[in-house]
Amino acid sequence: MIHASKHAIKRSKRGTLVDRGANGGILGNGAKVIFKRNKTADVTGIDNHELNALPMVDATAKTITDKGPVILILRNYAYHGLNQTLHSAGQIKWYQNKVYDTSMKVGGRQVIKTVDGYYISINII
Amino acid sequence: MEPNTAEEFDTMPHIILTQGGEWDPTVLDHILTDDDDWVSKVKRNEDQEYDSPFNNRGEYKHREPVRAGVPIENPTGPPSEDPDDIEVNFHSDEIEVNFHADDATRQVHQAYQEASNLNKIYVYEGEGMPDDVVETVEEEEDETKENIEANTPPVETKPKPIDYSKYRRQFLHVPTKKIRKTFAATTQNAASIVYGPRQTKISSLQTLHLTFVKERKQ
Repeated sequence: MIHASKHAIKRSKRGTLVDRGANGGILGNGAKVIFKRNKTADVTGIDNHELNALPMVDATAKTITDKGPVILILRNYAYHGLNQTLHSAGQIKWYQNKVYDTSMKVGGRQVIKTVDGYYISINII
Repeated sequence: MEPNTAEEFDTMPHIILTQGGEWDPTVLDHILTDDDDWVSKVKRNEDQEYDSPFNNRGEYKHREPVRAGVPIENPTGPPSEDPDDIEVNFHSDEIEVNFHADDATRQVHQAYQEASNLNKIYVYEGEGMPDDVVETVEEEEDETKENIEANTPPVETKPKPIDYSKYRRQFLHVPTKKIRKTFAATTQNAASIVYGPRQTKISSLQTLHLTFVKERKQ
């Protein structure tokens, strides 16, 4: 089962969201599904109810980095198809990426540094 | 972030955010609170200890005890030695006065207290003192300064001839000559003592009586 923080789901039409409380990514409508896995996941914390049997997918998306636009490879995301894509900070860190998800208002950096050295900005809203 | 096109997928560099394989969401699960040694595990050597200026009771730790006889430095700095450190600006309808030094403010305050002293004592002496002996204002200021230094109330002497005829009613209408001799046999220096408006008639009479007794003892 994948958990998502309730506060992160209510956003729409915003920037990249990283949920430090989620243990798995949830794919919204901002990515292109390239592979559908046989596994499903139950997601809680979205819209105050549980989403059952969301398919696990691999997807791609275009985003802007410090070196220009790139294609992000997003594997093992629960496909929701609505609203924003939620990235799990723990899942991204598990694959050697650095997630600086602390707000700049309190001295943070608000950026993801990938294992390849790309910087992706994070919005905190 | 937005969905990419096939052309963008072929031309743009690929950044792998999460890799393939089976994702187990429980790989990050870890219970720390059951570990008895969790404190040593969460602390780092580079963590700085917070040194609060207050103790556990909320009292300031660096307070210096007050010692008698030790002068405390003036937080406004030493008093200015410039006597003209007062700025006066004349406007069309008012006068603006700015005091730039602490000592100047104190001096003005003392002058105000001196000028508004309603308990100033005036002694009226008897006849015989000519008008040209009356002290000038400048002499009064000098005398006042000396009296302040001696911690005694300021005294100003003014000549005033005594009209004995107005006391005839109190002396059973005896001749003025007898009244003048009676005055000469009693007090010479005590006279009307003027205090502030709050002084009562009784206290004024008491002062006269004390002066009379003092002269009798001499």
